[in-house]
Amino acid sequence: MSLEFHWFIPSGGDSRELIHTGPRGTARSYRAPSYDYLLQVARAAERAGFAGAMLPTTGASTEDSWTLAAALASDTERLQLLVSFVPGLELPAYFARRVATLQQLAHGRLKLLMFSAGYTLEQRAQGDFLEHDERYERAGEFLQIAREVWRGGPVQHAGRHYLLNTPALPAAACEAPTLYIGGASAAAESVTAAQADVQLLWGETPAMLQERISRLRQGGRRLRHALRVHVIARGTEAEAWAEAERLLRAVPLSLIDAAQRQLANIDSVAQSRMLGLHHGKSVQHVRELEVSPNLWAGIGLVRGGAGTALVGSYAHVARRIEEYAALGIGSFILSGYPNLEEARVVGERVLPLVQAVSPADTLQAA
Amino acid sequence: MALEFHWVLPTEGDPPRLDPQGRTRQPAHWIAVAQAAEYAGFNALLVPTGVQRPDAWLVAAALARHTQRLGFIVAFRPGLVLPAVAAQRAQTLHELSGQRLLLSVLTGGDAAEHHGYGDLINHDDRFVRAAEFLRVVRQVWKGRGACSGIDHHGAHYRLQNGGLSRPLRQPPALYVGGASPASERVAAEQAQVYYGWAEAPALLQARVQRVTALAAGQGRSLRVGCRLHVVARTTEAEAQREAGTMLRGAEIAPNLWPIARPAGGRNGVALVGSYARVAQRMAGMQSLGIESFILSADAGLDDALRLGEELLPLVGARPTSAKPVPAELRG
Repeated sequence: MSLEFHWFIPSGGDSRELIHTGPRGTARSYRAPSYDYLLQVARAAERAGFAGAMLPTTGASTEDSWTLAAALASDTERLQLLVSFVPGLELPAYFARRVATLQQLAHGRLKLLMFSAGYTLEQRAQGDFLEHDERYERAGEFLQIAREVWRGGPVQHAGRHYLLNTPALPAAACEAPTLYIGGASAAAESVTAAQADVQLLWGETPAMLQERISRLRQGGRRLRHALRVHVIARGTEAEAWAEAERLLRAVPLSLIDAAQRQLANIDSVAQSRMLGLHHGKSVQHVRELEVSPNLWAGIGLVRGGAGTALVGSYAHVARRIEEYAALGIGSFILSGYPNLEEARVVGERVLPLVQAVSPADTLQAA
Repeated sequence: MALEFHWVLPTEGDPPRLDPQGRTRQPAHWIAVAQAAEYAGFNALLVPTGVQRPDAWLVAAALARHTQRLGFIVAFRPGLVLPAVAAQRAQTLHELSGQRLLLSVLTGGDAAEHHGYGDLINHDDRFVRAAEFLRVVRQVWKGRGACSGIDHHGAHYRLQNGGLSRPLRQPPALYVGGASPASERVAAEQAQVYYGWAEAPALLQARVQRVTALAAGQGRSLRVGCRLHVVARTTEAEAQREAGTMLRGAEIAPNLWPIARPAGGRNGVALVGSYARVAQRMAGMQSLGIESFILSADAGLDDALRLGEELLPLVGARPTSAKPVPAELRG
């Protein structure tokens, strides 16, 4: 099985800096997430050889991923659209119909990424007041119903969170899209084990990921694994680290402190594992944040979500990707600052150097 | 206020007698209908909702990429999604389409759709909830203030520190569809346009007066619109022949007939007659205060072109003028 590479659509805005806003307002290089810009990124990813592109979860400061995906489906040819969602903000059968419509508009190019822990504060801002573990419980029920609806028959469901007794909904019937599920808590892993086609991991060290992959495999159900990580790749190691240094130095120290305080309040296990990588330490030298060879935790100092980057020469970054692949990871979701230019760098310089390893073969050998 | 004429996209497909193979249920056909409606001079395309239909928001997003001037009236029912999510969805679609979004809120009626999706609320509560839903949506569009977001604690929805990080500057016009007194109250409080199926002139006039007065009571004004199916041909006899088995019961008023619409599952009302006669009846409705016509016909594509050529010039339609295409729409 060959490896699969996806890029990222920055629907919350993009920039040549790690963060868009600072004490003096918006970063000079800030790029608003206009459709015009996001389409350029999507087309760059398509041209650079990526199989698909991820659209992040919709929030107060990110554009609606579903709407974008419907438009991008009209404007691209082959690019798969990996649309993120948080369950619980709409009824599951209604969600199932939206999926069926988007799948029809995209001629089967839709894939789904579920993030359920989300962030409690973000959820409340959108009107959802369940706590972390309950949200996962509800997510399990939500997915069960969606899968029933996609099958096209009548659905009876009486659960803790949803009640449904409906004849078939033909407009919502479709082939179930490949489902990625993210999250690192026990509750998340149990939903992943039961429902996911692909476990979505953030860029932790290979040792940390090995532990999580083998834990999930003990469940017995066979599923695939994907890695979400940023990339800073240049012609030489020195140039790549200089770029990481530039990104880091552009962030005022006061912002790092403020961001750390904010991130520490988020009740996501995946997020606290990211913070654990760098312990919020103040940095004298950029490589102090190199938590494993070529894996840099600097992005997580100021940004939530996947907070690490593979930093290095094109060849080294390719080797690290192969190492992850050897753990059983068959799918990668990559990004860079800014996403338009870096799509070309990664697609044209790094990906051709990655030797296809078969995760399945590696596993059997191990 | 200028009159407006809109076209309905039959996403469930044309009737089987016209399309036995279901080709009109495909996205490629919807694109053709949208482009034909724009070419024919309609102001906007209503993308309907219903259990048998695809999601109107997503269809409109795709069609916006294939058109330049046409507005999109996205029909939706509150209750299937949280209002903050709908507000964000609307913002993205409105901006992506170059400010061409219009929203149509269906407040009442279709228990099949609500129950089909697991929304078990009863009819009367639905209106109360719809009104709260729309209030929250408007709040969310205003965005987060300098220090904090909006808090809302209502009977149906709750938000804490909510609101878009970037306010929506020109919110889409809101159409409220319905027929009951409760829907009229929601419209009076919230809508720019209130519309329902056509009725006999006396009833239509009463509706216009009632809703206008209700809105005035709130210090607002709104326009009243009319949903109409149209079977128009060169002569009365041809139109009658074309309408055929669609007509149900007795003529409501000259040229106005109740019809069965098998696909949508709901009954509607059609004007059946020659182009000149249909235009005359529509002028009559205008004189009663109807300013917005939402028209449909059996063949979504051919009839958009036919009525654009034969009927719209007779009723004083003014196509949306071509404006410079915004940068984000240039492919």
